[in-house]
Formats: sequence, C-alpha cells, structure tokens
Amino acid sequence: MSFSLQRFDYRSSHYHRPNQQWICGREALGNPCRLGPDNHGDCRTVAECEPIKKGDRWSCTRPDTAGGKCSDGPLPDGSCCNKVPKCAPQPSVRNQRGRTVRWAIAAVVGILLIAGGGSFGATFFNPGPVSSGHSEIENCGSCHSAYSGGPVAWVNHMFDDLTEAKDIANCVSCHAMKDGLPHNQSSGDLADLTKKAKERVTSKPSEPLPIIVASAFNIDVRESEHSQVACRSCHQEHQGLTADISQLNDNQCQSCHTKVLESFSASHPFGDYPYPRRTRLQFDHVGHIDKYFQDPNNVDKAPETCRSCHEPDDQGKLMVIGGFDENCSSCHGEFIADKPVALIVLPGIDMLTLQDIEAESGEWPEYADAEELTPFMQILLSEDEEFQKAWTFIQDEGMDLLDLEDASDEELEAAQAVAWSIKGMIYDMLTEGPDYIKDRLESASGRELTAEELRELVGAIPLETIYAVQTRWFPNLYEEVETHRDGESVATPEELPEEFEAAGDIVDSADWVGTGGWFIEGYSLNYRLTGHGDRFVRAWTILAANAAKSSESMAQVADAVISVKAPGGCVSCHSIDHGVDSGDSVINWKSYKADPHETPFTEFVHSKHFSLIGDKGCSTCHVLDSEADYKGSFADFDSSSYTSNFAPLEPATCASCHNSSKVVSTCTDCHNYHVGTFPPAAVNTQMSVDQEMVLK
Amino acid sequence: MTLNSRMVWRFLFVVVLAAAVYVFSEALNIRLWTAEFATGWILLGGMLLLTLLNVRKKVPFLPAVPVRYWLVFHLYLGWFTVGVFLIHIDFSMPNGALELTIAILFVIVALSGVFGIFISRSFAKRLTRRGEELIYERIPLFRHQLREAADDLCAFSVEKTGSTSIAEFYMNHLQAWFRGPRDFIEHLFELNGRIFQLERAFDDVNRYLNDDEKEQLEELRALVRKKYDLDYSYSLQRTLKYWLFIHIPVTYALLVLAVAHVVLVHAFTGAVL
Repeated sequence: MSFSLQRFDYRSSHYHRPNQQWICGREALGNPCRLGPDNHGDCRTVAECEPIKKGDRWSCTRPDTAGGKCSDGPLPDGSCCNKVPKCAPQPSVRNQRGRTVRWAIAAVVGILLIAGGGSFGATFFNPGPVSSGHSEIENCGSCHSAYSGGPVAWVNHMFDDLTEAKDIANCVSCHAMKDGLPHNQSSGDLADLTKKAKERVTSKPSEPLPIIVASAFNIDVRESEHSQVACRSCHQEHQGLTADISQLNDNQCQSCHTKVLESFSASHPFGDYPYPRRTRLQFDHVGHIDKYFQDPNNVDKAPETCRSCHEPDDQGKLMVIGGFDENCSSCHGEFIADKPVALIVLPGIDMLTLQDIEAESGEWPEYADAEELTPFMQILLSEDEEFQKAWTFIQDEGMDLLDLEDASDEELEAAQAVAWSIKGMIYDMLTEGPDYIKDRLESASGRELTAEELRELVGAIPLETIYAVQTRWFPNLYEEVETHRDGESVATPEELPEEFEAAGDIVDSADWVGTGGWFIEGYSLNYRLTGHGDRFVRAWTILAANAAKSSESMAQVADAVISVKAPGGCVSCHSIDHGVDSGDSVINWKSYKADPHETPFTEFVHSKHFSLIGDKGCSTCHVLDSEADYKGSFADFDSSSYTSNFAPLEPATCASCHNSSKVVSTCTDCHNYHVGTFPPAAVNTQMSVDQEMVLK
Repeated sequence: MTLNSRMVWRFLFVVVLAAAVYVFSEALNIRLWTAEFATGWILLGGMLLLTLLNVRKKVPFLPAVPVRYWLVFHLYLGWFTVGVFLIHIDFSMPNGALELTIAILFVIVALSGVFGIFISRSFAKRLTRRGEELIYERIPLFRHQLREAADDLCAFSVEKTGSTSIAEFYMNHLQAWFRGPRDFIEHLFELNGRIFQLERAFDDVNRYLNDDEKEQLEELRALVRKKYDLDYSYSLQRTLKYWLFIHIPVTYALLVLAVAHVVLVHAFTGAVL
C-alpha cells in the first residue's frame, strides 16, 4: 500500500506563510481556519466562512480545502451557520526564535548593567589576573586612570587620547623609569644614536615579513604624548599570576632597531665596546706590563695575575680595581709627597742699593731670593692695582730685583711697590684673617666658596704659622704698613732683618713635617703633602680645573697644579672630564664603580665567564695593543676621544660560544631598555613621637 | 557533504586572507601598536556583516544580492572571522571573565555554524532520498491522520475478521508509538534500529494470523512505515530549524558583549582615534 501524506494542489492544501508569527491552534488537527491568528497571537475566527451576498441571497464561501460549500448555507442574517470555537494559537518557529533572541539580549544586557553598577563589575570586567608583582593592587584605578569615572565615563575615555599618558604616569609613580622615553634618552640624543647606529651597519640582511610589511605600509613606531612609549607596549599585564611581564623578545627591540641582525654571531656591531670612554684613572697597562714590571728593580713588586689588581664586584659584573694603597703605593707612594708646595715666598730685592739711595721701602730681608711669586700670592695680590702695575712693569722690563744699582727711578719705585704690596698682603692676612683669603679666592675663581672648600684650600694653616712668618721676616710689619698706608714715609732701615736661626740644635722644620704639614724654610712658607689623597692639593686641583678660565691668576694656578710635574702629580693618574653641558670639570678621583641602582645599556657578567676561559685567562678577550696611543687620550678633557691600550674586542670571541648551536642569544641577554639610575622606592614610615613631649 | 574544487579555492582564499591579517597584525606588533585593536575591529566588522544575513532574510523584497549568494558569503566570511578570532586572542584562551565569556560564545556560534553548514548540506540530501516531501508545520497533522488511520484499521479488523489479534498487537506495540514523534536521535544518525524491531514484531505476529488478518496486518505495516518516515522527516527538519535557536541568539548576545568589550579596551588601553 502506497499513499502520500502531503498534497500540494490548491484544493487540498492551504497556503503556509513562512514569516507568520502565529499559527492556528487547530493546525495539528488538520482543520486550521483560513484567517489565522492576528499579530498578537489572538484567534480572530468565529465561523468557517464569511458569506457574501450575491443579489438578494447570501452565499457560502467555505473553500474546497475545508470541505467546500456547506449544505445548510448562510443564516438569513448573512452569518455563517458553522460557528467555530476559539482556538489557542501557537507561536511559529520564527516567533519562538525571535523570543529566544530577545531573551538572550536582555539577559546579557542585564548582566552588563549589574556588573557595571556593582562591585561584581571589577571581577567581571577584569581581563585576567595581574602578575604576582602587581597582585597586591586591588583598585583598578591605581593603574587605569579611566577607571574611577564609572561605565559612563569609560565611554568618554574611549576617545580620550590623554588616558595613556596618565597611565604611564601611574606606572612611573612606583617604577622610577623616568618618563617613558626610549632608553630614557632625549629625542635629540636618540636621533644622534640612531644616526651613529645606521652608520655602523653596513650589511643588509634579509628582513622578516612583518618588518617588510610595516615598512611597506609606512607604519612608524607608536608613540604617545611627548614621544613616550607606553609601558604596556612591552609589558602587557593581565596575563595571569605567573606571567613574566618583564620578559621581552627580540621583535619588541626591533620595533625601533629596524636594521635587523641576522644573528649575534654573524652581524652584531661591537663598535668601541667595551671601551666606549676613557678610563677614569690613567693606567698604562702596556707600559707597566711590558716595561716597568720587567725592570729587575720592580720585579718583586709586579702583580702576579690580573686579579692582583682587578676583582669582580658583588654582582660579578664589573672588574673593579683596588685602591692606591693596595695596588700602586709600593712603587708610587714615596714620590707623592716628595715635592713641597710653596705658598708664600719673598722675592729677592737689592736692599743695599735701596739703603744707599735712602728709599722708602721699609724693612725687607736681605737674603730673600725668590725669583717668582707663587700662584697663591698672585691670587691674593690680584686686586692690588699698584702691585699689578709694578709687577707687570718688572716682568716687561725683565728687571732683576736683586740688582738695582743702575735702576732708573721708575724701576726703583716698582721694586718698592712690590715690597709694600707683599708686606701689605701678609699684614692683611694677619689682621683680616680667612675672610681676606676667601674674598681674594672668590674674586679670582668667580664663585663663592664653602667653608669646607676654604678650609681645604688654605690647608687648615694655623694662625701661628702666618704669625711666625711675620715675626721672622718683617718684625716691624704692623708699624711700617700702617705708617705707609697713612701716607707717611717709612725709610729703609740701616739694619735689615736677619735670617732666622733657631736657638740650639733643633730638628730641621722640613724634616719635622715629613708626614705632611706647614713649615717655613728660609723665606718660603711651604706645605708638605700628607701623602696620596692630600686634601690641600686635591682642593686646589678641583678649583683650578673648574676656574682656570675665570681669571689670569687662576690660569697660573691651573698651569701649576694641572700638570704631571705639580706637587703630588694628581693628574698624572686622575683624569679630568670636562662637562660638555654643565661646563664643570669632573676630576676622576676614583675608578669606575657601578652604582647598584644603575642600569646600563649593555651589561656583561664577568663572573659567569670565568669557568669558560682557558689558559689565556683575561687575555682571551682583553688583548694588549702595544701600538695604541693610550697616553695621548689624556691630553685633553674629552673622555670620549679615547684609545684603549687593549685591542678592540672581536665579536668572533663572543660568537665562538654565542651562536645558534651553543648559546642562543637574545637582545635582552646583554642589553637593557630602561637605562639610568633607578633607586628603589623608599618607604616613609612616620615615627610615633609624642608631640607634647617635644613641645615641653 | 562532499567538497568540490570551487569550495577548496574559496577556502584557500579565506586562509590567505586570514594569513594576511596575521602578518599585518605582526607588523603592527613589531611597531609597538596594539594589533588587537586592528584585529578586533576586523572581527567585529566581520561579525556584523555575518549578522546581515539574518536581516537580508527578513527583508526578502529588497533588490539586494540573492540570499543563496549571501549564504555563500556568510559561510566563508564565517571561516575568515574564525581565523581573525584566533589571531585576536593570540591562539590562547583569554583570562578575564568577560573575555572568556565572549570567546566561549564565539566558539559556540562558530561550532553551531559549522554544524548548520553540515546539516544543511547532508540533511537536505537525506530528506530527498527518503520518504516524501513534507511541510514541517503539517507534520503534527499527518501524525494525527496516521494515528486515526491505524486506530480505524484495528477497529475494522476486529469487525471484519472477528479476531482481536491485530488490535491487541496494535495496543501492545504501536498505539503509544503512534501518539507522538519518536526515535528523534535514531533518525538523526540513521540507525534504523526501531524499524527493524517493529518489522520483526510484525513478522512474529504474522505467522499466527489467517489470510484476512494478514491482509489487515500488511496495511498496518504500511502505516507504521509511513509513521517511521514521518518521524524521520520530523527529526531532520526540526534539527534544521532549531540549530538556529543556538546560532542566532548566541550571536546577538556575543555582539552585545563584544560592544562592551570594545568600550572597555579603548577606555582602558588606548583611545579609538
């Protein structure tokens, strides 16, 4: 038996609209009404047909699908005789689906509204747990400046370009990484570095596809306000508690460093690494190793290994050197203090001639014999116009002050003027004290001196020493100078001061200060250095290095002090760096020691490599270059113009291990992005002090 | 469902397009731009375009591209958005509740879409191969008609043969089965266990009947086979209609959450413009 359930002819199958929202409740029984439910799902059929009037008769309109015209026909009032009870319309599939969609949207919007308005939101909207280092931060607003305004403000922040800059400020409020500038360099410095880097790169290795695409679409490195790079560009949070957000990859470095290296071993530029600048202490390794240590007289003092002088620092990164006492004093210690510094000297003047002509020069030691004045005296006398005029005249004329027999009146007046100025200088030192010296030093150097600087510059000279100078050299100084300054004449005495001789057989004053200090030797007030690190010479070296150009007298000081032949010979080892920006000079009293809070651009951990180097030891990497003009690098104050007395480090040396088959190297193995000095955040813990007790 | 070369080429085009988006996102990443913004907007745009299919179907009078082309576009754009979605989430599941919810909803939409493609292709062929063409909305009517026919046949057999064998057989094995749709899962997977079971029951009772009863039994067997085909059609057609009850509502829920996600990421990690 075969038959069909579905019929499609119009007489036996009524029409179904696929987009109708409701279907008749009698559909399943096989006799749905023709009209069907309305749009609200209400049954609107009351009878099987709606009779129509033809002439004066009502005619049945029941279709064939519902059985055709009924036998009874319409009622006299024109209504259908077959009433239909109300059905319960059923929603169509489309209607049910629409309802489901609306419920789904309502549910999601409801969840969002609940989340946005309550504490549940922080959890729901949180894109994931932050790393353990930030896990203590519970308020989203601590990092996200947009958070505090709530959901309405978030929509506004979608278009606020300053949000990122504020968020960077939030980061650096804890992480002292400056202002988010690349490598903490200014834009100008970056441009210079970029230019130099491009000059260094000669090869053009193949670039990865993303970089080619970035270049093709002219995609520049993204910067926020003021050329900042947002912290989150590299450090992407909400990756989970155990995520290491400080771990970077080479691609992130190559965002800016677009000249891609094929590999470290193949094409990494080394430039002048690891000798980018002049060593702070001038130590000629070639001279010492090849020459001085070979001298039979010094063999016993020569170091046995590099580590006799160099030891790794606490972090094993830098090889630091010991101090002068450990490394240098065995050879150089005795020479530091062998040359005393003359502070005040008396020039020799032909007093016999001045006596003969009855000059008005007052007393002056007959046996004083200095030919030049000390730089210190030049400074103290720099504002004495009569002295300056007379001394210039003497210098210009090439006068010999010890032979005034044939001198002209002008020359005699100049000699007397010098004598009165020097006596006046000593008089002023004794009567005005340190203020007189301070005033003259400040005038000559063009800057104010601190009390500590002044103390060191005068070498803490006792008043008694100056007083001794006066009593020995000019017994009648007070009376003479005051008379002279009153404009009265002071004749040259017939009896000149005799040279001081100590009563009895006492020790020589120079021997007395063998370990350093002040002493008078004849007509010279001298200072003997206390040894390495003497603060008197150190103070004068600092003053001279920074004020050499401020006055002629200071220039003379600089010539005398900044010299390898100067007392102490400080600058023979301690280099001077002239600050390009500040103009101040920095004297490198100590060798470089890494600040524990400093993050350099390039780091090398020496201690990690000790076990890898063979018999050649340090010279595996550091090869002496006997031809290099190392000393020539110290002829000026420019630390960047430098020739190391070690040959440049060969990349191949590193690449023998750091290659694709042994140690795979990434940029951040050696380089840091955040360059600078970043002290750890300190905590300000308030002390619990009883204020009432303080007031009492 | 079989693959033809046109499908393969279209799919390859989609893969190439998604790969291009991946390379572009890497290019943005390498320049420190937030590539997720770009892939996110592409993804949202793709999802909105996909949703337009539903709009297009609701306005059939529009002189736009025929729905069948829209459907092809919808299908391959769907695959493309799956690729962009994977790029957007960096091939790993998100950590946040909102993002995870969005990802799960996307996966549901995508999987239901794939399921929809599969059944649209395979169920239509199966329906054509087996039974007659039936309007889904009328299946309850046909089921009702078959049940009444079976009831009448049993009553008639008692009257004609004077035996209650067929009526008892119907009462014991078939009456409940005729009342509603049956064996929904079995029909989806075309297992045919029920029909074998019923056929065996018919064969078992057949040996105890006389010729008149056997004639009545064969008529009943024909009704059973019709009902079985009707249930088959019902299962497949219902599945064809009701998979959209997952695909479309979840799509709209996904869009709402995606908009919230866009607001949040731009408010907290970088302005739109």
